[in-house]
Amino acid sequence: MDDTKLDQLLHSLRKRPVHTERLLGFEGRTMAILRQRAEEPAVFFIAWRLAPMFLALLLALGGWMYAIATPPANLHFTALGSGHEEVQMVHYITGD
Amino acid sequence: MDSAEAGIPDEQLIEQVRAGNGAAYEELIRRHKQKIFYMAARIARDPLELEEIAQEVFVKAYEKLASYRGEAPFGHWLARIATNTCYDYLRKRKQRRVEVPIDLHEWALEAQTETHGTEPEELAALARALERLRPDDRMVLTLLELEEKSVKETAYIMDISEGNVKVRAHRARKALKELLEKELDHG
Repeated sequence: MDDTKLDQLLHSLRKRPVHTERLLGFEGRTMAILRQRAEEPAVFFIAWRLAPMFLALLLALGGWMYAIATPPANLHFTALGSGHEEVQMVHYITGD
Repeated sequence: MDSAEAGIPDEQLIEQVRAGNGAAYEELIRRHKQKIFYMAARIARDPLELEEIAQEVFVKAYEKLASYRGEAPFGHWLARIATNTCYDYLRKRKQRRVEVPIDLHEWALEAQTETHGTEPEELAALARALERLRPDDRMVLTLLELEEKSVKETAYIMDISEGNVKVRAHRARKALKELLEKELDHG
């Protein structure tokens, strides 16, 4: 393959017609894409701004659920102080 | 052009876009779309892909408009974005090993009407050889040989030195010749 032949082929390729039918209304379609993309970040922005509120709500809910679900950790000590230690021991041994 | 923005220099339109005037950007697209279409057509395989590439160029340009300093004409700056976008397309194609058959019949018809003394099979072989070329080799050849850009313009668009353009062009031509010979041998 010599350079002249390659140049001739490249010249032919250069002259190949371009599909220009999609040029019509191209700017309108592109602007529609830009508008769509401009709206998408707004949704993300709002979600991002609301994230701390959701986090606080989640923590509060978690804390509340923990508070109502956890048995008093100092149950045995309470029993000692109130004179119910024997009853408490029976419960502990029998698994009640 | 019948819009209010017609006749205003590109730089003023850019200022208007920065100030939030969408119509000004629409006018910029209207002015430069044909050039970008012709550039993207060197890479695209069909009209839909051609529009997809051209749209991506203008979307990227819009997003990067804040970084445009006016050191080069807007058209040149846009051509740089177009080249990078085309390059990305070629790279993705190579990574995915997308093999879309080139419409030989269309090529043959075009060759019969548009070329002189070139066999349709040779043009089809050239198209296949270009598809097999490395993306950066193809880009440098596209700009120099098909878009008929100067070495200086190519250097600006590809963001490399003029010496580098010459070296890459020489390497790319050599690679293209080898690939083309193989394509012609295989028929």
